[in-house]
Amino acid sequence: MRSHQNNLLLIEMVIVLLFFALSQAVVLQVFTKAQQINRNAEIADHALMRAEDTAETRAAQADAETALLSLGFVAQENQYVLTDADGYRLEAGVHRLTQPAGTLTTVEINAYQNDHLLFTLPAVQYREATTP
Amino acid sequence: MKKEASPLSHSIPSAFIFLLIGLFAVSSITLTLIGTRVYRRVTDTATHNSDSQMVLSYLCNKVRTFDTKNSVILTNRDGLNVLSLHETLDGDPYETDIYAWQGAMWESFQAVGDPFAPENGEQLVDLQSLTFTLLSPTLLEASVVMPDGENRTLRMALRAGMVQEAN
Repeated sequence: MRSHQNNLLLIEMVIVLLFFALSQAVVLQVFTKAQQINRNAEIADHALMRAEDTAETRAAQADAETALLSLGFVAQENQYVLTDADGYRLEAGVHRLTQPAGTLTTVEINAYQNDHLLFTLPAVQYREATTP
Repeated sequence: MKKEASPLSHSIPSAFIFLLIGLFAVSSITLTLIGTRVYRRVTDTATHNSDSQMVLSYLCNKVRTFDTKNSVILTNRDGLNVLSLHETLDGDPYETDIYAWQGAMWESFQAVGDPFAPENGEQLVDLQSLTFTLLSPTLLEASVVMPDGENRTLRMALRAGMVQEAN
């Protein structure tokens, strides 16, 4: 009878132990995820600052390509790429719409983190055609 | 004949229970410590991101507000790198000066021509340094080093006015 009670107690203890282990695993997973979300937010914040700087630099310069190259972008297959040590990548594509009255230049800046698109920031500038 | 229970058969479940309680206590403390560390890191990151963001947004809004012809002037006063924003109120010229002095960002508002005294300004936020650089006639860069050593820069394209450097 006593041996039977001991076995039941042992089983109960093992169940409790498993429950502790499971709870610990779940809580640790939540902590890891919170830390990851925090890191992602920091990266997105830095990427946004850099993209805004790019848009401002582009606005201050006449030529979009020159502005991008001066910021450290590298020309790659019809677009300009900047990879930062923080863990994000900016890709800028330059599109021009030329009309007799002037040219509308759009620099579309895409920010990526591990190939996941964080945001897109378009920087648009219109310049009137110079009359000869 | 009644079989007597050995002392060992009693001590094993008791020891096991104590071991289990000990394990629970240790794991609870460990989890609490990890949780505290994660929470502190999340709040620290959020705080210093918002602090530096706030300083840069403030500067950006100020420059945008005063971005008219010859109103944004980068100058040097008493050895301080000063961003001077000019406006005319009731026909009289006034200036708002933004600068870093004694480990903080300051702003002073005064009539143009009045002597510059950094202590007369209003202390806004703590930072290690604040530097304004003119990258091109229409591109201004502000570099901020926060008290924790974090360095942030912001570029502002001036739409209407040119920044003049004067000493």
